[in-house]
Amino acid sequence: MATITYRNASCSYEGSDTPAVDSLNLDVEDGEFVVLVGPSGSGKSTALRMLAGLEDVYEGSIVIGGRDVVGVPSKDRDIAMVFQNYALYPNMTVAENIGFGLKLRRVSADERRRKVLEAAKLLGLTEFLDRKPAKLSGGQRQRVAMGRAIVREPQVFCMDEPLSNLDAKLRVQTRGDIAGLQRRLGVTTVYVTHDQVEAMTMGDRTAVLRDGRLQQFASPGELYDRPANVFVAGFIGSPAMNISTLPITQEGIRFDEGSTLPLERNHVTLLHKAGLDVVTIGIRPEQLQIDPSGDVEVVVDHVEDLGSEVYVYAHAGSGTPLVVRESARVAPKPSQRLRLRRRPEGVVHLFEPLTGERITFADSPRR
Amino acid sequence: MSITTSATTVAPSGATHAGPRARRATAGTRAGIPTYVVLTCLAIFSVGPIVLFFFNAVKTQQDYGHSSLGLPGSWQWGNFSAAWTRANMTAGIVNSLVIVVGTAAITCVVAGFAAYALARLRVRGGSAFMTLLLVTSSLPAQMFLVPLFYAWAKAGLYDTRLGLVIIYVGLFSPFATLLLRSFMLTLPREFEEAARIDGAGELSVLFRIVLPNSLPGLLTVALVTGLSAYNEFLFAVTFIQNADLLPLSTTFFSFQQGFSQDYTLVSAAGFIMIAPMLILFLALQRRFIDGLSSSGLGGT
Repeated sequence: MATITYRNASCSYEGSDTPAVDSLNLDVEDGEFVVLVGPSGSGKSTALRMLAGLEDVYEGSIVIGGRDVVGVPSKDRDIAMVFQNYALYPNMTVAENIGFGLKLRRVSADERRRKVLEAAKLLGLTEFLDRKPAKLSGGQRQRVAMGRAIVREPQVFCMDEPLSNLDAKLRVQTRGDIAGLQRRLGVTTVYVTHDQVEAMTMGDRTAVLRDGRLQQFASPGELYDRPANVFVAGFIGSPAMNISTLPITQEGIRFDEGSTLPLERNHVTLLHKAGLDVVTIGIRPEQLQIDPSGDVEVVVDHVEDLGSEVYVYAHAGSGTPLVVRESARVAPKPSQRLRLRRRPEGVVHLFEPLTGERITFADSPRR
Repeated sequence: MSITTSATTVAPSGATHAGPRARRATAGTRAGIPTYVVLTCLAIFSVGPIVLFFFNAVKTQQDYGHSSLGLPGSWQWGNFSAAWTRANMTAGIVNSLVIVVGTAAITCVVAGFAAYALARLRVRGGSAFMTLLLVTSSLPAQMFLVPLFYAWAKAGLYDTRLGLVIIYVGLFSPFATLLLRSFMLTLPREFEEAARIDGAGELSVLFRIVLPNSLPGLLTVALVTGLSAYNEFLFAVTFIQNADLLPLSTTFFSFQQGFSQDYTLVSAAGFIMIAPMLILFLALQRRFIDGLSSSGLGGT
């Protein structure tokens, strides 16, 4: 068990001008489950591989349990990794795969057998111990890869999209299994994914990366409720938050002639004082509702009926797209004209139109 | 009435759609007669000489003189043992075995290390070395015959089996390296990374992960180089003089020169010579073809 610290850690690939990971700063606490999330090319896997010693750290440092591991080979870092394709050794049986790390550490054969059996029992693999990986299903392979990681009782687990090769149903189940296992073992874990459901449900804290830079590192709830910038706001949540840059009037945010989303008066004043004529607003689909006396008029483009709820995709007169999440019973028809209003508890996020950074007011409520 | 009309108008267009699809389906499951004819011709073309060779090997001299292309009148199995003893084939087989196994083993080791370095390690000048391998393996080997002869005579390697093995390793390892390298490139890098994280050093990674998983590639290399070493004639006849050290290819050659009048014995000796490779290939043909095609060098 150990803490992990990235201190201005950077990595760039040969032949590339921009660094894959740019001055990353992260503090992972002992026993914490941290998820790295971002679109492809955001540097999340590279950041994990730097921790595992599979990529060189060009600048800055990475500290595991108080020891700077830059320059330390992977084998001496006391970490375990689960790969996206599991990387089970095809020439070894399940038992040999799980016990390989112990064998290299010269653990006695009896001890090894005991630990392998223990891990196999934990993961329900006892009947497959003599099989080769080629004879296992995807889910079983995934569990063998987990077994190989936990049997060594390392300081840190590194997981690189371990669920992306499983089918949807198995993924949901395994998601819970991994999170449960991590809590039980209490091993500090860094988990990479591009799936925002995994990012929101599995980790204690989630780091959102984009173009090699850390955007925000916070609990899933905080990411959802108080995104630090437009990118995080748009990346976390499905369907994505409605984001558009619109002019500010005395009453609020102007969508079109006769369509203005009201804002708190003091916020409007503060925005004007800051010299802003336009602002980027973000409002989540569930924080809007259809109401005949609403503030913003829209035309419905199409409707997705999921049974339990409907997503109404519409656009305001100026062409600004808006998505609304509503209960399934009020599904409107395409081309229908509707009026929308913010739900009483709904939050409008405001972002600096040029930098995309969140605009915070001294009185804004924290959830 | 209208129903009949619509049916007749629909039918032709339906037929034109179904036609090609149906033909394709039959081609997929059952080959047409022309395909069989072509394949049979090719089979006769490649197997014919071997069969003819075999028939000649079991004919009497008179039989052979009477009809060199026909079936044998009486089966002279004794020709094989006669050819075996007269051509000194025991020594030939032993020498060939030593040379083939030696060449294949050393080539596998040399090419295995080189291919791993070229496929995986960051080696300075790696790509230049690759080009060198490609260029040198395309040079005609005869170019090196005379300088090698003098060098080997000086080094005391002339007229030794080791000398010949070293030449063969030099001749065959560039191709073997290229073949193994492309095979190793198909192995996911994650195997090695997982092993490193599990605590393996570079040598452990090579010996416990990369080489065991490259076994099909190594087997192909062993087969290809073994076969080439077995069939090689020019260097064998130039570098080995001692009759007790001659490999089969040259044993057969000197036997053929000594008994040029008795073609039945020459055929028997020839058949003995091709038999081991024929058996080996038939036994391992799937491996052989799989290895070549999966290495990405199937066309060469």
